[in-house]
Amino acid sequence: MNASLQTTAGTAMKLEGVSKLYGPVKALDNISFELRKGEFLTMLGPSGSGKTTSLRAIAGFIQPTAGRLLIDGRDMTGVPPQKRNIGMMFQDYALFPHMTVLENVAYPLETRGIRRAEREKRSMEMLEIVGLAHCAKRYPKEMSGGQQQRVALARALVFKPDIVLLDEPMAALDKKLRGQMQIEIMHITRQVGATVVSVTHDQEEALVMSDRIAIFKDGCLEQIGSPNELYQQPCSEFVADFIGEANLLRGKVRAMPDGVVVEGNGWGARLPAGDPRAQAVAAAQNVCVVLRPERIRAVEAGSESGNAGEGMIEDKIYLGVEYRLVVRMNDGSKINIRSRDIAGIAGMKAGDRIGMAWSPDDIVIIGA
Amino acid sequence: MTVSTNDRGLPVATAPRTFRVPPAFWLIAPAILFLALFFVFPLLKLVAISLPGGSIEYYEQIFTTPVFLRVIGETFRVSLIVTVVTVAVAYPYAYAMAHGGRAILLVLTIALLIPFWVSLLLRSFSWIVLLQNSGLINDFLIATGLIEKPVRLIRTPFGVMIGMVHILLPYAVLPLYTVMKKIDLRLMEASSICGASWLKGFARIYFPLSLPGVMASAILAFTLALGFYITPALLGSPRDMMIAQMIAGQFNEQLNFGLGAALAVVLMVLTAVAFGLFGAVRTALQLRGRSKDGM
Amino acid sequence: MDKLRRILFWLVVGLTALFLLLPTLIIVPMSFTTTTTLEFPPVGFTLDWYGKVIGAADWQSALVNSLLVAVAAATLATVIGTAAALALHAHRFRGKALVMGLLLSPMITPVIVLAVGMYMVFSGWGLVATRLGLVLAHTVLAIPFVVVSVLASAGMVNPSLAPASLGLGASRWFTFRRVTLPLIMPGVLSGAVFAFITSWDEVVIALFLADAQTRTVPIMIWNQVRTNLDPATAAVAAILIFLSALGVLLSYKFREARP
Repeated sequence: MNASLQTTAGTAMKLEGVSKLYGPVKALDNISFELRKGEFLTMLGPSGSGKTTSLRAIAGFIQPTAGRLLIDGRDMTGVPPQKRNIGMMFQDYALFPHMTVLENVAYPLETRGIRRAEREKRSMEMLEIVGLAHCAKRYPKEMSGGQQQRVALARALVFKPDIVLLDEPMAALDKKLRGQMQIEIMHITRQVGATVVSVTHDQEEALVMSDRIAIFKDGCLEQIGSPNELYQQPCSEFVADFIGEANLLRGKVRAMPDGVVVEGNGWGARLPAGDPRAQAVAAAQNVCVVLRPERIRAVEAGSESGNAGEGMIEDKIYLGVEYRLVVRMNDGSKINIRSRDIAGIAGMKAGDRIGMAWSPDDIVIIGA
Repeated sequence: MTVSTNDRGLPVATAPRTFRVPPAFWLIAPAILFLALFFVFPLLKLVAISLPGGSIEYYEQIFTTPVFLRVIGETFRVSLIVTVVTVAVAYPYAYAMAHGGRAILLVLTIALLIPFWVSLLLRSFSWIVLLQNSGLINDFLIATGLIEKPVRLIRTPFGVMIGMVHILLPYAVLPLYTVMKKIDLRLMEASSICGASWLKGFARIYFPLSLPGVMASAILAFTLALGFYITPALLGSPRDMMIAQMIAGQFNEQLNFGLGAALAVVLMVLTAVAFGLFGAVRTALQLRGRSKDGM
Repeated sequence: MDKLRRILFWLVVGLTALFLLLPTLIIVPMSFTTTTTLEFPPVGFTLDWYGKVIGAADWQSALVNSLLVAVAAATLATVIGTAAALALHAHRFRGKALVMGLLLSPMITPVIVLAVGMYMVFSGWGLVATRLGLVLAHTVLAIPFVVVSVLASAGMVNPSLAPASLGLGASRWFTFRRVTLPLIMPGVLSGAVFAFITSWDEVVIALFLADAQTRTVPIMIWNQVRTNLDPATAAVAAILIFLSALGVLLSYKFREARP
């Protein structure tokens, strides 16, 4: 590993209020964020959320209607893709079918006017890194999906671009290969010290690969942060639901002498007076409580109060390391629980009443 | 013979299938018979007439007489120029059809098919009117001040070529369009993000990928051009005669059937060779990009 | 630079489209001119040229000849070509590529070669100067179009349908009539229209095989164009274009009829 290529502090790219209009439709609405050098950032969101449009704007395939894009401090307005020094791996790789693997990887060097011997040497080095040196003379058609992806990655990295873009990198792979390639791509990009922006709609992929995740919804940047931040402190129901599994409970706020309680039909969440969140919650009327399935304990009905609830077991599914319970609340809504308390749950059955309990530290309150 | 049981459990014999004439034979026999009689036989008859008593005198005459050689050469020259012009004009047109979106595709397809459906005779007639001294083209050129008095366009090689390009254009566009439609434009995006200018990407990526289409379209245009009869007869002068007119002349005016038949055989062979040659090039191009290292 | 290239590109495409359409577009207006020479733009408006053409006995007989020959040739070519296309589509047999080549080769054989060859053979068989001779010759030209059209629509049919029908106990003939034929019908019909127009527009072979009694409309036009260019020719052309347009509309209707 080359130490000089390792991450250095600084901003690789900056989006300032970037918007893109297609007629009256806002494909991108005032997007701003920064990308640090050496960082792996994933833009995550459902289809039509603006993540792909953002990627294409960064690549220079589309021009923003408003706002600025700076790469390494340079304004990219009006700069065509070929002058941006950006590497990109396309969704179905866009390998040139009439060129060999080596010619494909060497193409960015060829366009930069590098001598044949030199570009073949550098391309072979890159193929070495992605583990395909033995396939240099083959044509893309003769390679498996995973191999093609590595060729595409090599082509995107070979000229040491300022930024590497990955467009739905796993979309064309079968499920088994995905997990493996996620790790591999992460390793390779780290090894060469690349700054990466990836786009995906697969939250697991985002969690595995990224230093930070930017969540898109309806053309807006909903939240940006490390996977842990997004998981622990989602800023909206959308983010909570999108990152990991979440139970969303809607309840009313009631002030108590020793704190604040959010109450619903058959459950309650209590924040002690000293909790910094309590003050903000007290000002609101209706809020949403986010509870992660693995943070809920299954207990005997009625055995706990405060941060607790009650419902009826609808389904009990055994998954080896854990049980998954689907609990129907009094108001008809459903809650998922994942529990490793195999012994405690083994005796319960569908139709039983069940109690649930959680720690105040494990709840997130949205809408305050 | 195989034995199976019917629904009452009794053994029944199933007819052996091995002696049946395959149904494909009865479907295809009429076509083969018909074409053998009315297509292949006339062509063979021409070969026979051109070789009276096994003598190759007519062929000797063709390949030693300057007039015939000049007409064959002229046919090649005109066909070649027309092919190059046609493919060059067809290329951007097909590109627009393949990548211009649905509305453009519809408009361009209609513009392409309307002349396709109007007979070649009528279109040649129309070009006579357009190209004549008092025609629209001359009027336009005079009105724009490019020329002062009408230029002779009709009964010139130029007139013939205009008419031929017009007729061949739809044939040339369709194979190009078929190939281009399958070229993923994201390859050009990939090329540009790799640092290539549009021109570089076109030369290195798009054009090589469209080459099978160029070849197919050139084959078709050249092969058809060699045998053109109506357009040169109506738009050209007798001096710029093409081989088809010469064949017709041998049968209609000279009544030298043997020589006419020999000329027809020459045209037939030239057409077959052109088709075969270009076909071989196309196959070679399609093979490129497949396995080369014996994988 | 980028913009300039784009403007230039669309300019070329637009001019090409104009070039393609121009000859067709000017014919119809010219047929209404009141002058005795072909003028574009036309002068005044008259239907006299149409009247002159429709009233003339030689045009009438040519029209009848053309229609009879084209209908007969289209029918014959459709039956023969459809059968052959079905065989090529559904069966594998030795020499298939060769048969395919034979079926399509009339398309690339120079018409003049066919014309003189047929002239020599047909004169021995007493087929010159007969409508039958023309029908047989035009059928040869039309078969490839039918084959291509039927093959194209057969290629879109789910290949397991016919075996499914046979498996359900239907006979071969029943399967053909109730399953295969309805599915390929759009291809058959548009092939028939193609065949009709091939014959309807054909002039080179007709020049060799037809006489004054059996001559077709294209021969009349040929003679007109070679002798005196008058607006009557434009009127005939306009009528033919109208009929072609009708044919095209019909063939598209057939294609739309069933997906």
